[in-house]
Amino acid sequence: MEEKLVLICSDSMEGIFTAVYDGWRHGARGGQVEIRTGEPESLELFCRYENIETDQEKAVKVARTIGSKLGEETYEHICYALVSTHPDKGTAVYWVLQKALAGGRCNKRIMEDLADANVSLVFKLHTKVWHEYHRFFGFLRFREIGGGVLFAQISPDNDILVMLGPHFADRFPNEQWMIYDEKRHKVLLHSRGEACTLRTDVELSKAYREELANKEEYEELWKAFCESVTVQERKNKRLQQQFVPLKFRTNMLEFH
Amino acid sequence: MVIQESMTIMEKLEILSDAAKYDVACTSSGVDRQGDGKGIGNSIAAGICHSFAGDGRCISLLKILYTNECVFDCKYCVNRASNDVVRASFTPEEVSRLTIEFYRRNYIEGLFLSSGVKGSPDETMEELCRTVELLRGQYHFQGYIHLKAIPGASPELVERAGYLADRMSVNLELPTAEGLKKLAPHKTRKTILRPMKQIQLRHGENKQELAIYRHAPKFVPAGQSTQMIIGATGESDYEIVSVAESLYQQFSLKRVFYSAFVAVNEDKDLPMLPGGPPLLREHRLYQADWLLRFYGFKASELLSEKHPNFNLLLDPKCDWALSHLEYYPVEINTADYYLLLRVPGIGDKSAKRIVRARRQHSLDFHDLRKIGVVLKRALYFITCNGKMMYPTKLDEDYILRNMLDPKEKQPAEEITYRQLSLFDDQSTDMQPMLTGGMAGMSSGMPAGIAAGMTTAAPMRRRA
Repeated sequence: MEEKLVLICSDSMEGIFTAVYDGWRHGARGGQVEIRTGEPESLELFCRYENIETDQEKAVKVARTIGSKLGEETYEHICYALVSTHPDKGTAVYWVLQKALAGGRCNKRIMEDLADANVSLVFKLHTKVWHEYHRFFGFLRFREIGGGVLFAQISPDNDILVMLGPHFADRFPNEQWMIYDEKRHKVLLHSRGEACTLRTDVELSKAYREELANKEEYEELWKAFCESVTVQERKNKRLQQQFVPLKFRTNMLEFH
Repeated sequence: MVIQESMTIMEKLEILSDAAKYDVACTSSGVDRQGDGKGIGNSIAAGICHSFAGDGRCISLLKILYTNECVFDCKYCVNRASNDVVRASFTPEEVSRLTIEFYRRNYIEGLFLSSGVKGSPDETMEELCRTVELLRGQYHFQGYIHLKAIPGASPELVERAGYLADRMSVNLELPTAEGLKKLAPHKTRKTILRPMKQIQLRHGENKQELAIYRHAPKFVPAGQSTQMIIGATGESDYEIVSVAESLYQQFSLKRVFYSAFVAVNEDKDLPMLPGGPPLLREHRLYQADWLLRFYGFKASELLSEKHPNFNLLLDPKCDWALSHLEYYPVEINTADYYLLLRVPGIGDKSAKRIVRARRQHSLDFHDLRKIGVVLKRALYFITCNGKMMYPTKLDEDYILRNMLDPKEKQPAEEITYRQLSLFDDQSTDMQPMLTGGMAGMSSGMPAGIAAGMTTAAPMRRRA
């Protein structure tokens, strides 16, 4: 029997796709393959570890293959699953691809096979990420800082910052706005009529943080609106919390 | 008498959003529209909820009245002419500014503009149109707009409004014409149904135009909705659901909303509701509404003259299943989609997933759980490859006993733990709690079986 292969790669779509590329042969020959995105806590016996250097070219090849052979929808499922924080996401994606493509197969309906454990995991992660992503469409709050610039701060569980770009660029094409991911210290910038740009390793300056402590006129109006639109006779805090879990509320001004 | 010169925006917003809060239709769904790159805003068909109010209802749109001055005297309404409340009116400019500034900060998905009747229905409708024209024209706002048609407004104004709004609605208010006459003397069925029909017909024609000319102006692209007040007059659930069904069929409404009656006024014609608004009843009606729209049920299947109201303990679908056991058990691997939809615990999403997944290979109970079927409810009604999950009886009383959720029967009574005492100074009526807890065992095993396994062991008391 082939020994087990553990591929260690960077926690990004490119990194995992490179690992899929490099580990493809081993799996196709019937060996066990795992993809991990961090150093393993303890090493296993009878197991070969390999560090994968992210290779843009290989990653693009894998991405293109998925898109063209398995269709846009499957590609979307896989991309969403890969921005989640689940430790087995890489492995699950790897085996979904093996099942769909190995031996010259081309199963476009692979995501319908929910009885398969790997497919079901990718499907679940997709749903989870999609939910968070879609929630931020609504729960993200901009505030105006100097010069009409809009600033929003989020701390999502999954790395969805880049995905928010197209929606808000379409919505506010003529505004200058930025969305700051405080967990990952990344910021997405948009200026009038241009495409979004991403900056990593960003720290908020003190002046910014002070600016954020001030209350705007429209923030007061919004809070008053949220208060007065509640029907007191129907008060139901539990239902409210079901829809707006506490973790989202840190950056939503109406809850402070 | 205090004459107020001018109110601040804050005061107006508080008064006019407070006055609008009883309107339930606050969805932003039904239309996909990309921004044109010049103005501000877009729209997504699924709708977006931006916040949730303390009552658990979604805040998606800036829901306000244009004015709460009203010449009508509807008995259930807080703004009825004979009520002594502070009156306020916005101007088109104020509404537009507020909408745009809220929208820019991503607080809202758009505007929901309703109004009291100031002067005459036509005058009010004219003001609403002017406001929305300003917002669409001058501010280039491409977000969602939901506009109320004022009963009695002229067809020309309704038509003009329809080209500006994404969704329009005329409130039916009460399910029966008698109820309407009693509680809303200034409104008639005719003044409500006429604009509704007009919008439906125009919307239909517009669809044809759009098929030919892709860029023809769109008339109410997200369709129309309406709402009914539940529990203000004495009609049965059967009447309400039948009315909703005919509205869906004859007026092609997108949604019918149900609003549990909240007693804001005291009037001899209004019911006293000491237990608060009939929220559970409203919930059952919404469940039934979903069954009508997505599950292929008919009103006459769910209820009848003899059985006019929903069972408050069971949801309408379970209720139907229990009285139609002849359809069950359903074989998951062969049953058609519509039969799957009739199984309690299988929704439209999981039914679709089942139909797709079983093309790959046959499914068993383990797979169903992964697909998202609620086995706790479904297990009595289904077989996988001819086998049931547990040996259960296909018997109405047996299933009902096991299915009744203990949480619903005993709302939030928490067990308090205390030290054992030799003296029986406190009655320990924990018995129902214990069996209740067992029925709710999360493994999805029916309580009958669970109880059967443990009856041999002596019952322990938790106290």
